[in-house]
Amino acid sequence: MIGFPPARAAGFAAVLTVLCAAATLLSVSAGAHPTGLGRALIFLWADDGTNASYAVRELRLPRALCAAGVGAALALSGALIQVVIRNPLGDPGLTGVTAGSAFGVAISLTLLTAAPTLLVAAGICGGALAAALTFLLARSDAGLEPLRVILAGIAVAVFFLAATSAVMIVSRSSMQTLYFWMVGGFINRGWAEWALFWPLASLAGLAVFAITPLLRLLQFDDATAASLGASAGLGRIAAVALSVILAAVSVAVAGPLAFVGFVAPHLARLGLGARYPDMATWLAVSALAGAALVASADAATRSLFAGRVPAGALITILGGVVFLALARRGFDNAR
Amino acid sequence: MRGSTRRLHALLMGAGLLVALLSLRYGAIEASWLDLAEVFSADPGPLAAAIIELRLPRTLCAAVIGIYLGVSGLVFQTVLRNPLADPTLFGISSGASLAVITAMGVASALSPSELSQGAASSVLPMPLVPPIALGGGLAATLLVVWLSWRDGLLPLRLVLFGAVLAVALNGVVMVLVLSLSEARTELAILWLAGSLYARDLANLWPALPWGVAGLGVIALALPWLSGLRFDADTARGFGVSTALAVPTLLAAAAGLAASAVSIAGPVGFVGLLVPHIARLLYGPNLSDLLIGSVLIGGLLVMTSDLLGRIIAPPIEIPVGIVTSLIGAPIFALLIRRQIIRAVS
Repeated sequence: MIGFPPARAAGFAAVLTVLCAAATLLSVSAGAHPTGLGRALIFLWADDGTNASYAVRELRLPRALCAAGVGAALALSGALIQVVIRNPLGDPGLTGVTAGSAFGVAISLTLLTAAPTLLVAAGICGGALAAALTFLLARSDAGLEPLRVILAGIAVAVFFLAATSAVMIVSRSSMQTLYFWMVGGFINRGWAEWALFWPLASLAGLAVFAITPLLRLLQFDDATAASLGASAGLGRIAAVALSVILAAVSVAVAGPLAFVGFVAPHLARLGLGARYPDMATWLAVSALAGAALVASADAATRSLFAGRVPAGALITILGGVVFLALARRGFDNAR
Repeated sequence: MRGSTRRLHALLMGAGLLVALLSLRYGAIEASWLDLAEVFSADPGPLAAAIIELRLPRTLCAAVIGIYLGVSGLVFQTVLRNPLADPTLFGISSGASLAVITAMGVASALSPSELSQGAASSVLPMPLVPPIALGGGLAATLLVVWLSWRDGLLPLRLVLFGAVLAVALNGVVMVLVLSLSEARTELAILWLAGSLYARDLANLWPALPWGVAGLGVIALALPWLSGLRFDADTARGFGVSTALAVPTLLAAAAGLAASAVSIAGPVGFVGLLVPHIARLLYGPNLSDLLIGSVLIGGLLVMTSDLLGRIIAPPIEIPVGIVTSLIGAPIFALLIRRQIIRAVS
């Protein structure tokens, strides 16, 4: 583990926290009927029964919380996959996990029930199925090659996204609804979605930090890990399982958002100024970066496009460009 | 031409005709064979008229899309010597979509306001759609090749960059579509899913000259294509000028793919699957493969469109989604094969 100045980590974390808070405050105060920052803060403190207060407390606040929470969860999910495949190109979207979860959630929404627990359970099943398929396809005697995991993941993702569309069309969702949901975003997300999201997400998040010693060992190759007395297989399974759970709860709330899990851990590496930062710090800063990223994207799309464009569209563009730039530069090391 | 090849051609053609007939007969409203026969009478009934007006054009569109994408895929896979190449997989269709949607937006911004409230197709002149799609498709292809070029084109690398570029471009399309006004959103969304719903001959005609030109170039350049199956030195040994042949063929193939996209939006995996099926059936002879790709491509897209209509009537599953459901698992198997080969 290469050391890094702790002051830098603290400074970077502070910047991200401020960014996240600023985006949340903007989300809470701006909208079709802007409230103003001061009044929004007062409404957060006490409900005065006006429409403006209702908008802040019941519509904008849960949406902002969902955005920040989903960002953090996806960032952790991506970081776990990056650790498992030992490559910075990992992302729950690129490994098919979000698409599989989306399929599970769509099945549950349209054919079974919209009951929150079942929704999340179906998402987890779908995500686990997709992850298993991806890793089975990519497996070879030479072990898990990162590039192959991603390619197999793309194939799995395309399949599950098409299947999700088919399920939703057959169940008479309008193309508009389908499209909005598939893009991913936070339009009309409220306290019900937050209630579905936070318990499982925070449990899984805590579990990620609980297994950091195992994750540290996964950074080495299997032989080194074994000589240090760790079972690489067990750690890998735990990491993938937590990654699937985090991705699945996020999808259940926000739809299949792409690239957050890829970009946020990268930002964290960049901010910490180390290729291999301390695992726990890196995970924490990644989660913060994810929260700041998605909260800002949601605030930006809300103010730029008057609520017509879901945050997922903006995230996809930014994430895609960053991915192409990084993959082009670092492809040879990445292979 | 060997007898077995000729038999195979005849068999596929027969299957194509059969599916075309079924495609005319089945749909949200089921017609009988008698209704179908009435199409040829001087005074067709309402059902027969609907078949002529609605189902015939979309069946033709499906066949043409299949032919274009199948041949385009064959050329891409042969020239790039990449079994995973597919025009819709590496950004061509996203580039074409982006160009067309942008043009729709510009056209409605320039036109008088009362006009722009209507459907976007009435604002953007139909004949302009294929060349615009072509421009966008070619630009995206160049971008993908430039991004993934490093001492040649690795098959897996090209697919990865193409897929990610496609996702990013779709993000831009999304922002454009959703920030346009409501009336255009529905149309653009249907288009993006690769649907043949309400496609008529007005969508088909403008794409025909470009497609026929592309097919003509490819047919004339068939000897080049045969040479390009081998590496550049061997191809030059056969007397193929790679500097001329490769860009010409790729441009023709991209043009075919973009024309297909201009008819009904992106229809995924056809360009990937058709050449593989053709090679399985016909073996390596390129002139057989070319005819085979035409026949199999038309058959595949017509069948997918038919399936999308009869699985859950009266709801239609867009043909692009059906082809993706069929194509993605096979794509996964092809990647798997590539992985095993790369390791051994």
